[in-house]
Amino acid sequence: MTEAPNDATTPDALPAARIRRRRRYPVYVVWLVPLIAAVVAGVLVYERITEYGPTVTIMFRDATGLKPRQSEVRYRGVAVGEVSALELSPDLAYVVVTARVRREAANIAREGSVFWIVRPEVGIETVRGLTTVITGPYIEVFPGSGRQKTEFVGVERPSPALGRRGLRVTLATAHLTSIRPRTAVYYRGVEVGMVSATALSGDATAAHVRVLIEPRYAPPGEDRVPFLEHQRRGCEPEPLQRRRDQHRLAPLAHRGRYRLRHARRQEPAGKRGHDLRAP
Amino acid sequence: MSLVACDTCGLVQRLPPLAPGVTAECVRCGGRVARGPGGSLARTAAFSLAALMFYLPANLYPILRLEWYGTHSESTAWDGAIELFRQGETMIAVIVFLASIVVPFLKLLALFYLVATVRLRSAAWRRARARLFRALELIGPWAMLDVFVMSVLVALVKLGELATVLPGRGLFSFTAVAVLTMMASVSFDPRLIWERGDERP
Repeated sequence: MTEAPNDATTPDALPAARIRRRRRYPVYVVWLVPLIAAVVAGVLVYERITEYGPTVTIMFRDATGLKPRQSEVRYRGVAVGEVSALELSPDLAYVVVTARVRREAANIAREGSVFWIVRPEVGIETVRGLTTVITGPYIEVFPGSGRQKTEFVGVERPSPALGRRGLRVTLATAHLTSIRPRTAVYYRGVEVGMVSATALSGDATAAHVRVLIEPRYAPPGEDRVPFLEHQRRGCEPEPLQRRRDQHRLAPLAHRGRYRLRHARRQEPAGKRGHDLRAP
Repeated sequence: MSLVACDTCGLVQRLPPLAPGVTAECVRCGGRVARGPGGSLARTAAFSLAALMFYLPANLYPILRLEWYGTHSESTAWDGAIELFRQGETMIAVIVFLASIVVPFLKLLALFYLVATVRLRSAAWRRARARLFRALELIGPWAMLDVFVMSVLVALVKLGELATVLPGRGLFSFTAVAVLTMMASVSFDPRLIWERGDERP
């Protein structure tokens, strides 16, 4: 195997290895490597630990399709958290969804925050949440403005007026026909607002329609306010019901349209902004 | 004055005492036959320490992010092993667990042990330590298994909007661990185990 060219038997006759000076830097320089590694790894670990801020729990009636570690919590389309666990409440009445909220979005978890699950929804006028057919549902949040909080009760479906500014008025009528949340409100044929909620009055003597008029059609400070009046094709208007805010409404046409005309504002300013959120 | 045989061509040659920072080359083929004292141990220790630093983020961060039909899933090495185990792929789960979590850590422990014993000029377990180092060199390339698999996966699974595999931050850390561990084991001169020993005059 060895085909050494020299047949020397004494070590002195062997060739000497060639000496070469190699190192261009002192030995301690190599300790910079773990130092840099410590800094980089430290930053990585720190970021990982502080990535998620508070953990919140949200109670839902139904959590179909939500998956731990996959379903997102979104606000305005941006992921602000992640579902980390799903479990039933001890009395089996609710699903308790535990979600981790990203640190930079920790402010979404406040008193008054509204959580709901976005699922595909097919209505008469619109189809919503279509992307969730493929991606699966996610939780949408609209932050409140109160103190930080970690326990929430999710709503079935948020009010269409949620997070939108404008004039909020409540109208009373004897009977509702086709008016539903999201029914458009027209003035001279222009869409100026929509119905945000319908409900029975406290004593069940009237139906209340909560309407949100877009801010540009109800500028604050102006003392004119939309006055709603029913116009039913081929019918005489039904007797109008008056409510404390003096806005009048008659139950509406099958198309669910309102006509507006201007009247003196009589509602005190503080009466605006009914809380439409579900309990 | 001692004698060395070149690793590459086998030529036996005389090796004069080397000063620190000096290397000896084979007169015939130019391959390195010996390194001067100092440096080797420090380099091994330094690279091992650096690798250890990255071990934590490597296991904290997801290695890959799979985006599929708009949903996504991220998994760390640990998640991956657990998930495989749940799906009944016990063998693969064990391989992933060993290759990604246990072996890199054991390698680092072994390197630290070798460095410490050489540093303390321990004369115990020399053959065992030499064997340990040979084993380290043998499993060296396998440490990059995750990295190889992931690079292939990232390159292959690019179905546009339908499915994408993205490397996570964990992969970067894993690569750092693997590369630094390799550099550490390459830096280690196994001759140091036998230096100033009883067996060698």
